[in-house]
Amino acid sequence: MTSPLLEADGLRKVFTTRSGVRGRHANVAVDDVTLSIAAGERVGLVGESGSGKSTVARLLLRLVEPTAGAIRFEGQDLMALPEAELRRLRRHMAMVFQNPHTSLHPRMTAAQSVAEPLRIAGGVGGETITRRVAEMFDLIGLPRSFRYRYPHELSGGQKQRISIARALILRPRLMILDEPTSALDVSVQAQILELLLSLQQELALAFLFISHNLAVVRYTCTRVLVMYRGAIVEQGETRHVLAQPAHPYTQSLLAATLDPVPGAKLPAPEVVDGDGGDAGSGCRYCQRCPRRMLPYCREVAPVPVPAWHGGQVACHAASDGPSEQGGH
Amino acid sequence: MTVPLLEVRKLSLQFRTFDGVYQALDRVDLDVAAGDTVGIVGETGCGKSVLAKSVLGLLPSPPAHYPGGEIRWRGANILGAPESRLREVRGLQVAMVFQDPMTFLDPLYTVGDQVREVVRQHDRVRHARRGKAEIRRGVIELFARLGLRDAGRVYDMYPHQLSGGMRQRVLIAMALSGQPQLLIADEPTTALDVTVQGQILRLLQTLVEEMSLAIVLISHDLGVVTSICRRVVVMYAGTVVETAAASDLLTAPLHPYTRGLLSAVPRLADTAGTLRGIPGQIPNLLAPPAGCRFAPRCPTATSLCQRERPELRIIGGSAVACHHAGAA
Repeated sequence: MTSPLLEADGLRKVFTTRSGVRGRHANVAVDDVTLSIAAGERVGLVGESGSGKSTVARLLLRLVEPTAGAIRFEGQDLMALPEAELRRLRRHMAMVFQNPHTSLHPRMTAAQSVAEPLRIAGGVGGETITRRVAEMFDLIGLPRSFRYRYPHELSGGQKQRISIARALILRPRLMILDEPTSALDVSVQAQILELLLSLQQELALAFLFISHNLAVVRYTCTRVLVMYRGAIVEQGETRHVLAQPAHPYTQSLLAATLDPVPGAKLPAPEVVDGDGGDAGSGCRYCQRCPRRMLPYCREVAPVPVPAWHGGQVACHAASDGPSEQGGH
Repeated sequence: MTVPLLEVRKLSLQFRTFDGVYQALDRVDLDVAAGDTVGIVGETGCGKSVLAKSVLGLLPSPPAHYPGGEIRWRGANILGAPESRLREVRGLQVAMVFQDPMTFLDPLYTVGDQVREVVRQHDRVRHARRGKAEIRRGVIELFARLGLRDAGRVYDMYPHQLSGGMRQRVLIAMALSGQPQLLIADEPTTALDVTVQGQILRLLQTLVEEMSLAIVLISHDLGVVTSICRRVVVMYAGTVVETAAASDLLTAPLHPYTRGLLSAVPRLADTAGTLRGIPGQIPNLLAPPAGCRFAPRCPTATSLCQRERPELRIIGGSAVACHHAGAA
């Protein structure tokens, strides 16, 4: 086991929203998330909208302050660092956002966007910046002449390449990618995934790849974490988890993923069409779960236990060996 | 022999913009028979949405301009028909569901009232007269049939109180309220989570089976389209490049673009594990390529392809617009 590059322990984030005139509502977006990423490792984080994947990403960089929990980068406690030191450390962790159309400044040229992190980090002269920017364009496979283009003169795929260049210019060790291809067409998505994988190899980067698409994660990540309503419900090696998922939620996600193959079947209708609501003190998936055991599952929260695929699963009903459901 | 409902013949569409004439559609054919399920796939800018909107006469002119072609509904051309004629077709015979259920409902009215408004407009065209209570009953019944639990309560709810899947069901109810024979669904599941997507697709399939509704399903996702459609039309840059039975398309794609798309889709159940993007970008339709519009990105293009636009040719049970298809 290599020592982890990034570790998060018991991460929790509660957003408080006002509702009505004086009501306050606490929304637990992330609940006791523990994860670690080794140097050079590719980890996928999957889940539906609202499951807390993006919040986890932001918490890891402390772009959003955690309510509780610890984050360590190469052994250094991020929570204890003052702002200035945190900034210095953040250069080793880069983020690529989902929508390339909104994450680039419309009035900055591609080169300015790519150069900005380097300029802010400081300590390098104008000539070095120009040279490094040009190198980045070679690295991401865009002609150097594109440096002087504005975002509106670029396609979605080209903009995402610029975002990747901007993330890589400080030579980070970890790249957090928040749905980097969901806004792109499939033919372009394939180009970007190819690029990301080759860069990962070349630069020995670690990835945290956030996606709602299991097929994309299968292609890009060696390990996968499955999130449901703020918690990690299953994790393990991607090929094992996807071949024999232990958690009923992972199984339903797999069954709902439609591969373009002849005779592909639509998933069976959900047994319980529970629409969220209060999970009580028990399992958060209880309302939608086809394998729930009432009232036990509603009252007792499952803790992560070793699963048959070698990873971990948080489910009371997942201890009885692989089932036929859900897999492909 | 099935009755043709919709026949689009050599439809061309241009938008006159300040930058020049945008060739959005070029001699597009589309056939839909009663009870048929036809999928239209293609990437951004291929013209799938403007084709659907053209069928319903929803594009304002100017800037839209139709230099040629016909849209026949039950044998009669409705392209350029007066608004009064279109109103008899729109909603009552052909209805449409749009992509984003979040933005198509008015946040200030209850969803029931919004559907009732549509029903009243239909009644006006049909010279029918029904009381408020009667319409309400009908809408609630329709809600229930579309799998909205507790339909009476949902009627009085505002859009923000509903989940994405429920909103999409409301929009489908709105579309079906005029009892159309054809439903055009434009990316109906793109904004939804995969598990919800499965439920909505299942619902559409049930409607086809139980109400003998014909469906045109527009999507960028080959997996979605082939899961419920019998026949698939592949579009690229404003042209139809291939039309085939869903299973043929997946097992023996004829057009190089279709092949490219298929190899760009990441799959769950993939053994080979390679993903290939299609190099290059979609052409600028202000100045489309003179010959085949896919030629600049095509691995098998020859000088003939640069020069001459290929017509759709029948090969087996498919139609393909490629000079080189079927040659090998």
